[in-house]
Amino acid sequence: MEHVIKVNNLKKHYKEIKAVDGIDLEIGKGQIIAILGPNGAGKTTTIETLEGLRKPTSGEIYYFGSKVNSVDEKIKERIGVQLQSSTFFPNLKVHEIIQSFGGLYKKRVSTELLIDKFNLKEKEDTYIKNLSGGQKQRVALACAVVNDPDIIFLDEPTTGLDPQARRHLWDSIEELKKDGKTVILTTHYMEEAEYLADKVYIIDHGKIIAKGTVAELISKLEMSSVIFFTIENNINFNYKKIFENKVTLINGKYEYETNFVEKSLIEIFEKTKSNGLTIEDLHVRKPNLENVFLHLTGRSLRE
Amino acid sequence: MKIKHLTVAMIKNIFRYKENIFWTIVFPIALFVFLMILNTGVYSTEKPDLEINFGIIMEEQFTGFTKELFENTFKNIELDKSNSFKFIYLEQTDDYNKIFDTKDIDLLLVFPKEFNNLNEKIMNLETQVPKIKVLYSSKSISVLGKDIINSIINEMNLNINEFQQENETEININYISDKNTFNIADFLFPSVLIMTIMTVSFFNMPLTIVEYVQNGIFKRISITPAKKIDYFISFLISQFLLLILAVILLFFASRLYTISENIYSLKFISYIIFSSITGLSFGLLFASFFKKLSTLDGIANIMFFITMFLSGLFFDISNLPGILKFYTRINPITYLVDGMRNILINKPLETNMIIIPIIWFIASIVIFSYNFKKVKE
Repeated sequence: MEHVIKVNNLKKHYKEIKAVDGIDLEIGKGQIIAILGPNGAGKTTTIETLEGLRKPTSGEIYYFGSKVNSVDEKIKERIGVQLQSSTFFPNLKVHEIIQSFGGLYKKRVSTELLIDKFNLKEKEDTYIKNLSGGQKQRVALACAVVNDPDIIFLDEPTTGLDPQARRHLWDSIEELKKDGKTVILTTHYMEEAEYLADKVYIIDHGKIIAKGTVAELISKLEMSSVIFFTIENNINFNYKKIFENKVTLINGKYEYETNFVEKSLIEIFEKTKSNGLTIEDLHVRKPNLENVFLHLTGRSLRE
Repeated sequence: MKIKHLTVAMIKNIFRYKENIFWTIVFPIALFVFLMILNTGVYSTEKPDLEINFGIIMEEQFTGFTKELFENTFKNIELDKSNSFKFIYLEQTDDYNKIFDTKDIDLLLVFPKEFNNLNEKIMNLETQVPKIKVLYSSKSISVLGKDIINSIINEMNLNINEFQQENETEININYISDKNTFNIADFLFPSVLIMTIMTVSFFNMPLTIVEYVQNGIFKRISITPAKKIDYFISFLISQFLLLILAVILLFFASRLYTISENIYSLKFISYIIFSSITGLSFGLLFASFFKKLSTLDGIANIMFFITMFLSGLFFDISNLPGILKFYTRINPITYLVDGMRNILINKPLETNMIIIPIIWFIASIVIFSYNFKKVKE
């Protein structure tokens, strides 16, 4: 696969603090890469070093197959960036800010096109200061792609957004992938990485502790799924006998641990029905990146 | 092109801050008008009737047509009780400029020797009629009197033309301003101008820089192909434009009052630009020391008022005690405001009025260059 970015042993130290401590990355063209980790893990420092905002202490960075000592104008023309907390000029209107940023690049996408693409038509004459968090992020995304970049860096793009706004932004990011863009995003939301990423790098204390596709990372865990269910009116029944000791009762909920979710679900429905029981509530908990992180570090992502 | 786009964005941004417009443009104009009202007494209700004392000196006694013309106009006005003009006939003197100090007059008309040549001129003989000299001070009543005299002389010219159908003879006036009279507008205009420059350099500029840094605006721009120098120049242009607009509007406001014509001189305008550049460098220096907007805001307020009071903008600072005196001597604003006042009253600029602001300018740029990156990282 053609690598648009390759990083070897990247380090960024601030005196005693090792913000980034020997990171290797290989990012293929057209991929969505998620750098997942808790706050302070070194995600932002890593991508800001790649963007040229910080000088690395050591390590090698390759852009489009060529080694770079600093991120110069030529590279800046080909990358788009959404910073973690970039506030734009607050008294500019949406279309004005997109136009202004467009004016800083040789290649630019028309403002109208971006306004349509990111559903900003209704807000194009609204001042930035009057936008909601989600709308601001969409403007930031529009500004990040105003130069039709090959690589787009998104630093925690959905932090602080409500679920609906987050979902809208995910759709926009997926659109970028369809356009053939390479997207590198940092996040501490495991569901975001699971939903969007082709490849995930889990980072902690400035080091990559795991990498791979979501499925690969979870499969390495060798963890079972758990089916939780409750019975209508909390009727007592001999669950141990019926389910042959595969079910346990914890805090009023029956828990069935299995590696074969579909087969087990059929079994639960059949056996409860044949015993005249009605299932009131049921849900399945599959192992996820949170479990991967917990397994690797002994801590939660949100700690 | 990058500078153009950034400059337009920054200009729109700062001009849409109502606070910027109020404190940089509206407030200085309002303050200037307010201080002028306070100091010129035009608000007074104690003297509802206008009384203007015109001093008249005739360097030779009028004869013939000239005498008749003078009496028909001036004497008629004197007889008209509905107006409050008083003509006071004075003896000749060597120094007309001192007459405002010794006599209770608002305006002086001098009919020069050979003014009687008018008698020959209307007979179409080849002769020159010397101009009437009108000496006025910068007091508003004197300026008003100047306009009244202009009307009276126009009336005299009409009378001449009625008498002389074919050729045109005209009495001309030579207006002479008494520059020795203290003019409050000449004192206050530089004060308000400098205060406007200070508003930009103490507040607008450093607060905007810190806001752009704090909110990541500079950081966001630095990821684009725009160079640091591009957005730095754009920033300076946007601030400078705000200042220029404020100064232009202040010039318009100054037209409400009698103020030295020197405000339109190249020297004065050059000195405003010099003061602005020094002021803006002062703003850069200031911005380079602070990371937080709230801290800078507080310090800027304290520094602004201390500097304003200790620069002689509105108060006399000649009798200040030790440390305060020291501050007035190292403070470039003191020299800039005095420099402007000197230009307005035709006094030469002193070396300090150039050198000390230049030292501040160089020091500010050097410290800013060294300090800014260190503090903002």
